[in-house]
Amino acid sequence: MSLLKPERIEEVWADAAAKYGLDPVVNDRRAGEALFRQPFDLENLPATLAAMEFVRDKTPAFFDAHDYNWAFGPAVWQKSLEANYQSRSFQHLSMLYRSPYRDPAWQLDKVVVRYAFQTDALTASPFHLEHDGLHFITMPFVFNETLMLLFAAFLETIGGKSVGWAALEKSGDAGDATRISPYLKHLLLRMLTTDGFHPSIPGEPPMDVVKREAAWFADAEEVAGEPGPLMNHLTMSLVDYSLAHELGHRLLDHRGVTRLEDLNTRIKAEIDADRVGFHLFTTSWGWRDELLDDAPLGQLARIMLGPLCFAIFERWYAGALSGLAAACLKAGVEPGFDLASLETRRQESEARMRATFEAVAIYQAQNIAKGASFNEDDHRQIDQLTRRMVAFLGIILQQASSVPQEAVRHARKVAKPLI
Amino acid sequence: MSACPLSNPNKAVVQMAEERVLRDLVDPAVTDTDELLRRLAAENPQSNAFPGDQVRQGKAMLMSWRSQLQKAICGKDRIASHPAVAGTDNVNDMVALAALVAAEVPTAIGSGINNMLIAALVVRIGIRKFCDGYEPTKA
Repeated sequence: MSLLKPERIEEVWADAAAKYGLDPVVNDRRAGEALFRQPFDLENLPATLAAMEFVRDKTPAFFDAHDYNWAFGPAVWQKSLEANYQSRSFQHLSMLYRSPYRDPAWQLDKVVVRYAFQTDALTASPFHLEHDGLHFITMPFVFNETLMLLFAAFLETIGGKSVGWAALEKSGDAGDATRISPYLKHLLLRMLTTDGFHPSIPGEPPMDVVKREAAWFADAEEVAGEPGPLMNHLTMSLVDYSLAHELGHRLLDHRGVTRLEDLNTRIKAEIDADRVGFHLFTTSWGWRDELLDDAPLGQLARIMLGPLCFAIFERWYAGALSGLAAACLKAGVEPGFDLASLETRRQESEARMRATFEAVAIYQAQNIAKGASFNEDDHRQIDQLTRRMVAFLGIILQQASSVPQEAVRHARKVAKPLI
Repeated sequence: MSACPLSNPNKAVVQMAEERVLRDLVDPAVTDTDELLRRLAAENPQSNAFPGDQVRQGKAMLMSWRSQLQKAICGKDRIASHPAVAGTDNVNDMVALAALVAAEVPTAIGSGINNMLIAALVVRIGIRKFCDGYEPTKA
């Protein structure tokens, strides 16, 4: 059997990206040269590959049994973050390989992580896609952008994006709901102008025009700088849990779950991927525990951050869509997406959340029975965090739906949607 | 000069069938635009982490292809000079223009129904609007 080579990966990915419109940059030489393999970014690659090597050193049997040599050289990586996500996927897969609870039917090979410059702010989600024998786990630019904006906006309600866990103790239950975060404004503006956020659109970027001409959006701001400890812990947990979920689709050999028309069949497939994802996430826990050293939580509470952030992020995002749809309807403009999807989205999210938190509760009970602890401090911290996150959902809904009508109309006019 | 389809009955049947498919796709009275976008998304076998919206996913796919499609379509004289290029309500003209566009969709992007779906969407958007910002020197 021939070994997988970086050239083959690039060829299959280019083919998939072209066929399914996965990345506007792939197959566009000029855009690719401007955005991928940038020297400032590739400076980080040796350290990332060294971390990947560390995973191989700790779990050699997995790498002996699977063809992943291609991942350890620089040739295949378009961005260092891509290699970082692959390394984190190896943490999940290699620990699962050692687990006595692994289903022998699960295939752990041919997983390739890609970073795509997908920019549509109304469809921000990682995804799994099988193409020509390879299983691509794709983390789109817009997913990273959205999660950073929403978590930065959330943390502003309890003191700012640099805060640590102590801030949860200090602020009131709902946080500061009166001020509209510049990060939330940025996300709402991205959503409103997403059709104009594309390299092929001529002229000044629509977001810049709107920020200059519509006072409400003037202070909209991107997230810059190093994240504080709380933001780091929450976003890291969310990304790792998302990777685990997508690996769940790969292990279950799923194809095209998102396009399944029957809602119950789709929900069942997603719950199956969630369960496998949670199993991966808990099995590989040792790799992440140290990164949460300064979180005042025991291990079981730390593990909860993954499913909790995953579930609440989905609700925040849906809340921004719902609120913005209301603002669009008030302003007399099309929201730009299918309103009926909000209801099916809610049904799917609720069913998945219920199943995930049942799995979390069972996991906790089993581990507490074996001597692990979930003490009062853990309970208080998780409870405070959850209450503030849920309160922020209300803030998103209220603030997104109250974008002034004139600002909504102006943003839509400037972005000139194609359809 | 292309051969007369009647000299090859099988080819004529295929062309008639394709024209019928294209007619259904370009005619807003038969299929609404959201339905076309849903069909486009339904060709994509990805499994998303978060629930979403197939109409929007179809739009995102079309936007991802935009630069490549502009290169393939916007500089073509036979498209640029077509009477329906500025937009029309005449379904026959839309079908004829969509057939020209479908023939130019790069094979890496579309094959079979997919290239006709893409062509129908581009024609519904309007060639001029779709090609706005296209610069041949940068292509």
